[in-house]
Amino acid sequence: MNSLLGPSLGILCGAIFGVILQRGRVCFNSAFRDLYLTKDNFMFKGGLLAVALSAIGFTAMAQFGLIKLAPSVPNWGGIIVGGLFFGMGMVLAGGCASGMTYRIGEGNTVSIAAGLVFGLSAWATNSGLLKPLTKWAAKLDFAAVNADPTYYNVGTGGKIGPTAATLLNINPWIPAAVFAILIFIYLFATKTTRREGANMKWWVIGIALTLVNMFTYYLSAKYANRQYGLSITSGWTNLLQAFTLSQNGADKPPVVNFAGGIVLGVIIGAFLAAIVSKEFKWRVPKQGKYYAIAVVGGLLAGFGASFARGCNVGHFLTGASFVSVGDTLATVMFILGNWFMTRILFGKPYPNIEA
Amino acid sequence: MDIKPTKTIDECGEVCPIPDVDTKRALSKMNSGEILEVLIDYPLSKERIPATVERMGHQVLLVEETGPSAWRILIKVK
Repeated sequence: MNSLLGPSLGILCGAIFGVILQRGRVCFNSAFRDLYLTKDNFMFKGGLLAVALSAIGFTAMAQFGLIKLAPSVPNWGGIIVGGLFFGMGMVLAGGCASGMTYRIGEGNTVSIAAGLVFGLSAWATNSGLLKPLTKWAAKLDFAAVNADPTYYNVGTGGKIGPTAATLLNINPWIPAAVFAILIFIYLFATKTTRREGANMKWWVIGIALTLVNMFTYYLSAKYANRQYGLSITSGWTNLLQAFTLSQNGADKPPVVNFAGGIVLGVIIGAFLAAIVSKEFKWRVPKQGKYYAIAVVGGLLAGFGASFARGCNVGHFLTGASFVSVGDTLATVMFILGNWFMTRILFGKPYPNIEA
Repeated sequence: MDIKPTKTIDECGEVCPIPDVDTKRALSKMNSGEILEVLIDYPLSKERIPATVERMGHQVLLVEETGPSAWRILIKVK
């Protein structure tokens, strides 16, 4: 029975996340893209508020011994090349990792293709065709030194990525507070794009994402021995493996883990939210080429997310809250890749637009 | 509201930002005072397209639900 606890809790957390994504129309692809294309910062501010609040929330949870902070160990090649590929891929796939996952629950058939290919591509990069490349890139890993085991997940020889706190050898509260204050200054001192018809205000989205991420991190650490908050990429790989592989030749298949549960939960939560709000519909584009474009996007994004060791959720929503070098740089690369592909596909920013 | 659109684009099945971008491209080819009808079934586009075209200075005449998760938007070109 115990083995079911982790994936069940993952599904629960994913489902809450899925409801927020669907009701709030939370999409990091559009959050990044619209900063450039339509000069609209509404969704970006929602995501950034979640990162700022989580920086404080996660540090507090670590302080009270509820979790250990665990920024992933980055390498330059993975972060820069993988980050750019993920950023480009999400534009083609019509959604970031969480975006394509939750749209499956809304009945979007293009997202089903994109999501499955995303998972396969991430899997191939991690442990298939491109494994030699991934292993070679890992030579450039840079792990943190001076990580304080009170806060960080380095107790049993574990490694984490460097953060502002480990680089400067200071208490993690200091960079978390400075980071949060800087974000708050941006959030409240700049004009936010108005969205009259939006279901949820940007700050409601930010607070909701923070709460579900803290809740997820706590349950994941306590019951699944997984020191992380929300993530998507590893969950997709886990799901595909769990349903296709036997474990080392044994009859027993790999099991769905907490991260796989999150992905399943996102689809279930978004489906329920879409049904209740009468927004579920099998959505089929009239032009078949959009499937092909989404498959290419899924391939690029899956490679990128796996090579960079995280997607928009793992690196930005959860990871940037650690004020870590790798996660922050990955987020910047996601945005640059996104803008580059947006420019190619959709042209220059909209003219004559008022901020 | 009975308004005859000058042009109609059917964006059902497409997801963001394709309906938004197609709308923008259609509007740029139209003349002042003409009416563009946009058919969509993607909830986010129902919220985003009116907001974006208003910021571009056009007038949104109507956002009407035409079926389950389907809407039509009428936009008057500035």
